[in-house]
Amino acid sequence: MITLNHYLVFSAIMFCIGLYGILRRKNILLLLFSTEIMLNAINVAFVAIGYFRGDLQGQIMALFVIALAAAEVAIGLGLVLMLYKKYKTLDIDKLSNMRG
Amino acid sequence: MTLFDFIGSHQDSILIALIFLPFVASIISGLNATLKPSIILGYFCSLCVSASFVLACLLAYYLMCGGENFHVVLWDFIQTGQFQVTFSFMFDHINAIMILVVTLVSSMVHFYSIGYMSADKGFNRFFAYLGGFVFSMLLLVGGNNLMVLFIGWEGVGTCSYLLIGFWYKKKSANAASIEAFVMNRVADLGMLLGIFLVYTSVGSLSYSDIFAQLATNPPSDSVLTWAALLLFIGAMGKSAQFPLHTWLANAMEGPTPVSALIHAATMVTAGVYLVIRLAPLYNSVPQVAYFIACLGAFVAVFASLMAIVNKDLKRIIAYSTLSQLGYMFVAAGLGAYTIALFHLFTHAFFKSLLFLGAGNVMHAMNDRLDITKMGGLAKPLKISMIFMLIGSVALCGIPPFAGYFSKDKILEVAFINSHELWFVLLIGAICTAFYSFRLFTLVFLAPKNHNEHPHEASRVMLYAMTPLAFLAVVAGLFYAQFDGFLSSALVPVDIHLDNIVMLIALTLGVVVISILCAYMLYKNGYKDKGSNILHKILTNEYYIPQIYRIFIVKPFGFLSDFLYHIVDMGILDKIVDGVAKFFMLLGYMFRPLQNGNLSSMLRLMSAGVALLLCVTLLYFILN
Repeated sequence: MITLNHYLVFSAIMFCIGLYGILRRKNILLLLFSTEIMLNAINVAFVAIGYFRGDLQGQIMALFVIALAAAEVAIGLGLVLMLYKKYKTLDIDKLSNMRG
Repeated sequence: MTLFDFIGSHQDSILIALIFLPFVASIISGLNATLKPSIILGYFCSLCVSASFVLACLLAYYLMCGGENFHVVLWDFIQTGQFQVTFSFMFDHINAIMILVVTLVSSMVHFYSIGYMSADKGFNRFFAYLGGFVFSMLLLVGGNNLMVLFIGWEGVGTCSYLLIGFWYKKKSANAASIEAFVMNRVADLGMLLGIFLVYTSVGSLSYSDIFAQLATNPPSDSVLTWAALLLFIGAMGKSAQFPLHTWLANAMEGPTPVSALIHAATMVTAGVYLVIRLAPLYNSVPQVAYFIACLGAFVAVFASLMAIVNKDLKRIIAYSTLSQLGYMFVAAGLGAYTIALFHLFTHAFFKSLLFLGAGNVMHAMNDRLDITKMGGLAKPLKISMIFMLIGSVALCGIPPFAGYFSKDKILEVAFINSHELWFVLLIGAICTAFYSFRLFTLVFLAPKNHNEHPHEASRVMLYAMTPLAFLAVVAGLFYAQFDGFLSSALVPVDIHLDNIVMLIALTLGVVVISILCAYMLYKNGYKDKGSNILHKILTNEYYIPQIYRIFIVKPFGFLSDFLYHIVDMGILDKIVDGVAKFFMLLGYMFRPLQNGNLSSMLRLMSAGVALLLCVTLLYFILN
């Protein structure tokens, strides 16, 4: 029997994978991917909770997040493209130009 | 409408115009200070000050024809609870004389300066300072309370500082200006304390209130004594009386017209004016007044002895000023205020004449001041010589020149009060005659001892000196009118002496002998005869500057060094630097946070979120 906990654990694992990606990866494109993973992990949790409570609000929230993620990816990819055209690299260590 | 009625109906505006005209002149030339010298500006300023003089004459005429004293309140100056002072002026018989002297000598010196300073780049600046000085001096003598007097007092001090240090590239001029300023500050502290004491004991600063209070309900004797003494300390500083006298001789670093105006005729007599102004106060404390007289007599001889051995043209005249101020203080201290004021009046003319003559000599000698290296100037500087001769004779007190009348009156008053004072003053008079004719003989009559090609001063300078020379001759003849004019304001002095003719003859005799001695000794030029110990002491000004250096300047320097190097740099600065360094360190520690690297920032953000989660969890668990 698949219970709510299974979904939530799955969602948490996915979120952690996304977080790990954000922390470890040096390529901006992959950072964007990782944020997508994290967003979708949240979506899974929303939908699952909504389903088990018999409440539609969870799905509505997930739809909102999907729309938001689409917009974010559109702008993010545009920016990544511009960055690549300008610097010929997507490595964030090389792109950092502040002298901290 | 007669002139009298006209002045009577416009007296307030005339007095204000009189006082503020030099201020306007000063502001206008101050605005032009950096532009190139303009003779027109010089004439404009001179005419402004002359206009002041004309207005002063009108007001004096008004008083003479029986007009009343009057006060003009400009505005409320300080209004804080109990303490109330108005910014107001007055015109009465005493300050009428002062205002006349100040505006007359100032306007002559202004005209003289047009010629004297014509080659100087700071011409406009000079007139700005000079106008500022005249304005401050008029505030000083025109105010009707001690507060306005004090403002003028500080104003003349500042202008004197600026003018002594006028040639600011000269190191000695800077040092002299600072010395004058600091010395006066020391004295002004006494003055200020005196004003405070007067206020706390009388409750007002206006002269009329103070005198009314003194007459009806006088404060205790000790308070009066202290007030009189403290105010006199201020007067000592301004009038360069011992022991605050050293600045006056060094003040000769300034341009000569400045020496004539500020350090001979007007500013240094402010101390005498203060004592005369506060005559009722000094009358009520005879012991302080007697002390003033003794100090004056001491300075009269003390300074004239220094003048006898000095070789510096201007310093000799400066010491002579010191000694004449001593005479004025003797008269004021003995209660003969009219005579003190009369000597102030005549002295202003012949002393500024002497200084301006010295200015002509300096111009001719390319600013060289050593009188032993002059001589033979009688021919090229004939007119200047005549002026200097008039000044010297007036200073020595030979009738009928101005100095005779005032100085002889002082001697008579001293003779009545105390034979010792009279004797000291007589010695002073002998010395005066000796040094003035030593100077005169060495400069004009002795054989030539220089390689200059002297030339007579320009026309405007000589014209400016003429009225002063005229007054140096005749001013003394008006003693009777002078006495009558002041009789309503000051107690007239009766001089009843049986053997007055003997006294005058004796004084005149020794003075003439002294003059002849000086002439005989120096007519063949100055010969260095080696120096005995007395000569050495006198040329070193009694070693007083050295004593001041050792006992005051050096310890003060050490103290300042200590405070600067140890307390300020060592302790205070270290603390302030420590605070700054602590935050620098903090900055170093946290700087990696802002290194701009995206992944490290994300890492920090995640760590922050994790931390917040932990805190929230803890909160839930504990509750």
